[in-house]
Amino acid sequence: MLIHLLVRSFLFMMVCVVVALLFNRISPHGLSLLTRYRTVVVKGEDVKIPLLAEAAASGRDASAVEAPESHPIAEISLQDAIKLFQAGGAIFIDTRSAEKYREGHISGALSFSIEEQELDEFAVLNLDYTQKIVTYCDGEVCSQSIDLALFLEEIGYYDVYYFLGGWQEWEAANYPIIRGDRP
Amino acid sequence: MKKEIFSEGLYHTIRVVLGFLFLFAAIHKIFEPSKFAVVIYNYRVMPVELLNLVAIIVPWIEILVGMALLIGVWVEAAALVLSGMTLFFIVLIISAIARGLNIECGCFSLDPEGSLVSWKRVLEDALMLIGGVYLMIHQLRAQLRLQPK
Repeated sequence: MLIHLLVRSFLFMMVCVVVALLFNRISPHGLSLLTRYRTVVVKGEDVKIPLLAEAAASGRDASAVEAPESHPIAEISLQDAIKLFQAGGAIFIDTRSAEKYREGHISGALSFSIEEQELDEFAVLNLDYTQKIVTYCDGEVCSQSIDLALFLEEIGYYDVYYFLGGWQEWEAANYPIIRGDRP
Repeated sequence: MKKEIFSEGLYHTIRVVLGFLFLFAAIHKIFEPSKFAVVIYNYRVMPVELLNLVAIIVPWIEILVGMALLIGVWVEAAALVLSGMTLFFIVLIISAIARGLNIECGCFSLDPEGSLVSWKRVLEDALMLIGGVYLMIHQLRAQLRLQPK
């Protein structure tokens, strides 16, 4: 009887997988089966950052995602920041000190401390020039997020935003955060 | 006799409640798989390549478990899958709490202002696990009774 139960459960799971894949195929919100990611270098180690943006809308083919229009750096609010976060295609850059980053940062954000690192070191992160980037620092009292955004714009990144409310607003809103050295 | 009626009543109540809960938990996830993938990513336990696949399949397991329970077919199989899933969720949430992650649970809502991982979520899942195991045992015992001696 137990074997019977296990067989049925296995069949049940198979039905779920088939239905899920079929639905994904026809759904306008369907995703590519394997997640696109970008490999960035954090402290000499390769780290995969998933790009979960709705590749869906452009026909599931990652290569079909068009490069964004170039625009001057722009300020975004907490609401815009969480929207970009949820859409999944943007990379957040924490411009505060490495220590503050370790104590807690926006989930997935990379650390690039304006005060502790040379701007030229940004290249080490290995980010594409078309990458959507959101910089942030503590909050409205700091300017590192704007400084980095301006620098990125200057060297050719063309889809850059700075999130003015920064860490303070994000943390107060109880949005996803991670502690430690990893993004 | 009375005991049997009570047991049947309890069985159907748990079956319907869990059925609705699972349907409710999954219905918006199937229409926003990319948001769900972000939620899964935040747990930091899955290889990034597989985030999409998990975000595509898990909600449908929940949906079909919910439907099977509501309709009352393959209940023991659905209950076993439900129990396995909730057990996995419990381990996942506890590991997130232990690692100091302050992330959305992704249990019933994908709204970041919704429910964060917490012991309350663990308790909810534990109750569902108990319900799932009860349904499974109830069905297996019923099948045993039907078997020719």
